[in-house]
Amino acid sequence: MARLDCDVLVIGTGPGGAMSAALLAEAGHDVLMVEEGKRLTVDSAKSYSLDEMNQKYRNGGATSTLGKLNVTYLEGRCVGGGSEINAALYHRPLGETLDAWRREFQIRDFGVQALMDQFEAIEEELHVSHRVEGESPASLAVKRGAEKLGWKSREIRRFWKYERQPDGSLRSRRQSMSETLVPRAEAAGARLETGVRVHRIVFEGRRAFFAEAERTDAGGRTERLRIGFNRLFVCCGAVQTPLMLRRSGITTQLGESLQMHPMVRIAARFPEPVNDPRFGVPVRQVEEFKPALTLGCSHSSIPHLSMWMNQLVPEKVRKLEDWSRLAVFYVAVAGKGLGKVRPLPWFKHPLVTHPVLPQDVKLLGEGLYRLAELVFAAGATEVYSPLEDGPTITHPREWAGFRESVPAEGLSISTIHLFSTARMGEDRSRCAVDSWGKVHELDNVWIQDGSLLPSSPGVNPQGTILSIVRRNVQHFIDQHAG
Amino acid sequence: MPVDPVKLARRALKPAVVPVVESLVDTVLCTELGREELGADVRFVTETRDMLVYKLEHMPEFFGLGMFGVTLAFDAYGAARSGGTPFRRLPLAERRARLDEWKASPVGLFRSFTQFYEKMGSFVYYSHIEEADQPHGAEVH
Repeated sequence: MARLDCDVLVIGTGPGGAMSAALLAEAGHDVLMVEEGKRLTVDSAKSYSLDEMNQKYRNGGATSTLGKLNVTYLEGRCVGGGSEINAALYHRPLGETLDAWRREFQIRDFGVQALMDQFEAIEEELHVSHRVEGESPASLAVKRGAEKLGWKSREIRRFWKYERQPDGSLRSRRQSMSETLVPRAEAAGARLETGVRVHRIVFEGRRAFFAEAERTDAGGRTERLRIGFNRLFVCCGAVQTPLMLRRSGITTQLGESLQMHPMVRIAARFPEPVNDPRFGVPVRQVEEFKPALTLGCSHSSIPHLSMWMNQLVPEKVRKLEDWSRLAVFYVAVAGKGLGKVRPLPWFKHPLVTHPVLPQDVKLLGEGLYRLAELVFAAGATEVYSPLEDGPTITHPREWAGFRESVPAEGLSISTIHLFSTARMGEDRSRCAVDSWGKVHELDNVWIQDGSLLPSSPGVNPQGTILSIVRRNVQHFIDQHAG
Repeated sequence: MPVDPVKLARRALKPAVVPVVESLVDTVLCTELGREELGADVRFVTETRDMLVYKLEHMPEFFGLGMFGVTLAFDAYGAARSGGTPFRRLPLAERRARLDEWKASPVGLFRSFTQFYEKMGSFVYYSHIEEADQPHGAEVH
C-alpha cells in the first residue's frame, strides 16, 4: 500500500476545496489536495456537450434521486468540480437569507456585514464581471419580456476574465477553480493528487488519523493508498461529503437534509433569431419572484433543444432546422423538501432520496405560467410543453391551469444546485458542523462545501459557498496561527 | 482485488442488452427522422447505441443494473405481446407501438425507461450530428 502524509488533507477541488487549499497553503500549512477526477483544461470539451458530460460529470451526467418524482442531478468530477461545468454565474447571497440562517441555526458572527470583505475579495480574485461584449439575443429577450410585464430582471455577473489583446480583440476565459484557486494553492506549495478516491476515514475517539483511498493512474491501474494527516478538510460536495463520512461511521446530522433547486425547462420559438451560440449561456434572470422562483434562459444548442422538444416528434426535425429562432428557458424553485444521502452495501454510489413537495410542484406550475408570460411578452410565437404529451401553446393563458395543478409526473425535473447535507450552526439538533465548519463530534475535521448551507439560498450558490468557506478558513487560520 | 458482483452481473448481461438498445435507438430515431433519412446515417445509430450503453454502464450501479434488467424485460414484453418475437426483432411499427404502450403506462418506471431512450437517444444523436457539422462553436469574442 502506498503512503502519503501531510499536515492538512483537503478532499475535493471544487470551490470549497480549492478555496480552502489556497488559503491554507498561503498561510504556511503543508496541504495535500486529492481529487477523484482528472485534471482537464476549461476548454477540453465544448460547454454542455456530450464530450463534456463524459469527461467532467460524475456518472457521465446520468444520476438521479429516488422519490415519487425523480430529479436528475449533476455533479462535477474533475479538478475544479462544479465550477468547471456550471454557468459560472455569481450572486452575493441574499441578506434576508443570511439573517434567517443566523437566527434559525444559531450561526455566530454571521450575516451580510460579516461576509462583506469576503464578497469583495472573491469578486476581485475571481474577476467577477458583466459581459463586456453585451448580452446575447436570448438574454435580451428575457430583458424585453420582463420590461413589458413590469418585472425586475438583471444581468447576472459571472466568474469570467476579459483581457484586451494587442490586436484589439477581446480574449475571455471562465474563472473556474482549475484556472484560479487550484493553481494558486499549488503556487503556495500545496500538492495535488488526481485519480484518488477516498473510501473512508479512520478515527480514534474524536480524532481522524488517516484516509483509506484508491489511486487510479492514466492507464486505469489502481493501487491502495493510505493518507496520514493532522487535520482534514472534507470538500466533496453535498452528496459525496456525507457519503464518505457516513461510510466512515460519522452520521450525526449528516446527509439528513439534502436541499436543491428543482428546475424545469421549456423551449420557445421566436420570429427572429434569438439563438447565437457565440454568446454561451444567457446571463439574465428575472428577479421579480426571487428567492422562491427564478426564471431565465438556458444553454440552447441543437442537442439540448432536441431534448426539450421531444414531445413534438415527428415534426421536431423540421422545427430544429430553424434552430436559430429557438431557445430553451427555465424555471427553478427554492425547494423545501429534505432529502437523504445514504451509503449502500456493495455499491460505490449512494442512495439519494429527495421528496419534491406539493408546495414545490405548485411553485413549479406557477413558474411555468410566469415563464410563458415572459417569453410571449418577449415576442415568442410558440412555446413547447414541458409535458411528454402536452400541446404547443400560443398564449400564456393556455397554461393558466398550471397555477392550480401541474401533472408533475410528466415533467423532467433536474438540478445542478445541491446543498444542506451538513448544515452549519450551533444548533446541534439540526447542524452537523459548528459556525465555522468544524464537525461537532470531531476535533480535527472540517467540512467546507455546499453541504454547509443551512437551506436553499434561492440564487446560484457558488458565490455563497465561496464566501462562507473563505470566512471559515480564515477563522481556522486565525485560530491555528503560530 | 475483491470480486465486484455488480460489475460481474453487468458484464454477463451486456451482450444481451446491446442489441435491444440498438433496436430502441433505431425505433426512436426512425420516428424522429424517418427511415429514409436514418438509412443514410446508419453509423449514427451505432454510435448512439454505443453511447447509450456507455451511459448505462456509468450510471450509479443500481440504476445501471436496473436499466439493464428493465431493457431485457422490455425485450421480453415485446415477445409476450407478439406471440414470441422479442422487441428487437419486431418490425418498426410494432416496436413503436410497444414503446408507446410503456410511454403511456401508469407505472412510473416504464415511463422513465422510455424517457431515457427517447431523450438521451435524441440528445446523443444530435450531438454526433453537431460534432460533424459544428454549428455551435465555443464561446468566442
